[in-house]
Amino acid sequence: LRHSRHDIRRFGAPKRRWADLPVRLPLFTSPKRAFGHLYTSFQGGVPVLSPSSRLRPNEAEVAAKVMDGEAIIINLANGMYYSMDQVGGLIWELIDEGRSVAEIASAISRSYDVPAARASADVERLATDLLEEKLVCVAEQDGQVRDVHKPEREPKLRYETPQLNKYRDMGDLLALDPPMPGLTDIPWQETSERPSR
Amino acid sequence: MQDGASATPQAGSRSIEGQIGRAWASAFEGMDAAFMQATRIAQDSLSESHHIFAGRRALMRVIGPKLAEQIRRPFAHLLTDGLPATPDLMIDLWDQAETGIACPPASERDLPGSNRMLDDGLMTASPEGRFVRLQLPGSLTWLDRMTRRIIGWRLDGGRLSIYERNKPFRSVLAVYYNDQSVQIIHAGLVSLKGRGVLIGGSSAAGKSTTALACLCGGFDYLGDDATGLQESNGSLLGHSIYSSARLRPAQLERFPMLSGHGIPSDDPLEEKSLVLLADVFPARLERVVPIQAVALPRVVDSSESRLRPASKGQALLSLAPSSLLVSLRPGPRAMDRLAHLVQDVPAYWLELGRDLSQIPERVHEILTKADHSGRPG
Repeated sequence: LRHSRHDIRRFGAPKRRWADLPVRLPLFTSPKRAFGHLYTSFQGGVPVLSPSSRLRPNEAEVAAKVMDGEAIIINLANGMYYSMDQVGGLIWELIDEGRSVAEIASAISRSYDVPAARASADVERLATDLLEEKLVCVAEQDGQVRDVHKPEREPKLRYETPQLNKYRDMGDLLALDPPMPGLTDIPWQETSERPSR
Repeated sequence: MQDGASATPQAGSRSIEGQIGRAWASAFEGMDAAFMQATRIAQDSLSESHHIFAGRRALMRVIGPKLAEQIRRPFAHLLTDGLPATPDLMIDLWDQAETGIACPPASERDLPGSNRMLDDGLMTASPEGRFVRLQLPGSLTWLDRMTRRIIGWRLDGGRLSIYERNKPFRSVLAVYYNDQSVQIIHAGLVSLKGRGVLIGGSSAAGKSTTALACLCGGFDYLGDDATGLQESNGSLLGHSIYSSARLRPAQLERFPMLSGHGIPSDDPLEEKSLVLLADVFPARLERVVPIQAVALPRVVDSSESRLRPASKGQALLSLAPSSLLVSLRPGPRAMDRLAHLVQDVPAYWLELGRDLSQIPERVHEILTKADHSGRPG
């Protein structure tokens, strides 16, 4: 776009448009280039875990218990519920204790007959599944690696690849009848004692 | 919990919250005034009955004989003598067809709160949670959780829906029970000599079949799909809530002792019939028993019924989703309470074969095994 001196004298300086700029800012070419530093840790909406990542149960929406080593997890928001076998139950307990992915993998390989590399891959995969199902969140990272007080177990337990078993039969019912905001936990009961009559 | 009474809405406050709180309180007073007016108009048709709801005394005052008869029937086994003690819960109900007193008008706009569709009606809770009201066609029920009082209006007591005749005040009572630390769980309960077996599982697992087969086979009955669970001195009590059951025609045919007592629904879309067990087995309806074992029925293609031990994880997986994922969510203690139950008592898969007469034998076997499993405490 060129303007002669004559044009500028006659019509005033031309209004600048972003498109006229000789060099475009990365911000306007692609969001990915502008926000690329954020993309590196997310893929498909789920954070990519590192060995030092710590998770925590999504307590706002999830009720969970470990019974005899088996984890039972209920997503109260969407009605899906889940179970995890013995190895999965231990992983859930360690997540609940605030252990990092690496610490959990090391604890698993100490208790079960499994090579460290496989334990670590399995823990990472299971943790990603839990994140995808919104059963856990990424906790604030404190960077410290603490040792899990799990002594080497001899003989080691037989290892079975941990699986997140999913059940959606209640979720289908709940889709027709979603939970009520405000009465979900019936707040009156939680906070107040009634005066006697 | 002790000083929590200060959390009530500030009566003198001019804030929006205060105004809304006063609007709810005055609408509740309107219901009270209408009930009192109905009492004056139809004094002769007022009837009182005393009940025990989960160990607490409830006084039910109903105006209109037809309404009284239908509402009280599922609570017949909880009746008690009218002692002078102050009731913990008051239930006041009037029938417009009998008294001519209409329901005081109040719209959702006048009473903002949290709304949800429930039982084919609209349930609204006041913003601070003190009042809950459930509106259905021809029916309005209020609960004041502070004074523990239910006031209800019915358009025509002779034409209640089959759902209300089966489980009167279902949703508001669930809130009341929850306030008393009694959790309504989706499970049946039967007992033998005061020892209870909880019957868990999702819908269509066979809970009603198991509970009713046990009742016909000599057990006492406390419920087939709703049970009040309460922790008491470290053990778990199961309370009966209703003594009614709903069965499909094919199910009803399998119980010759009940088949003559089915009340068909007037709703053509509802195939299940209502059975009021107080009419059939008045002496075998218990109010409360300690829970000693959990049975997890499932229908199998076999003639025989069998038992298999279930792990604690499997028991919790069968009980928790259908008890926690209900329209009115119990509080955060609910999962702990169920885990406590599963931890405390043994659980068995009960594979239901075609021969119903074997079911009570298997459930009896569960109680015998529970004895030998050396339950702590």
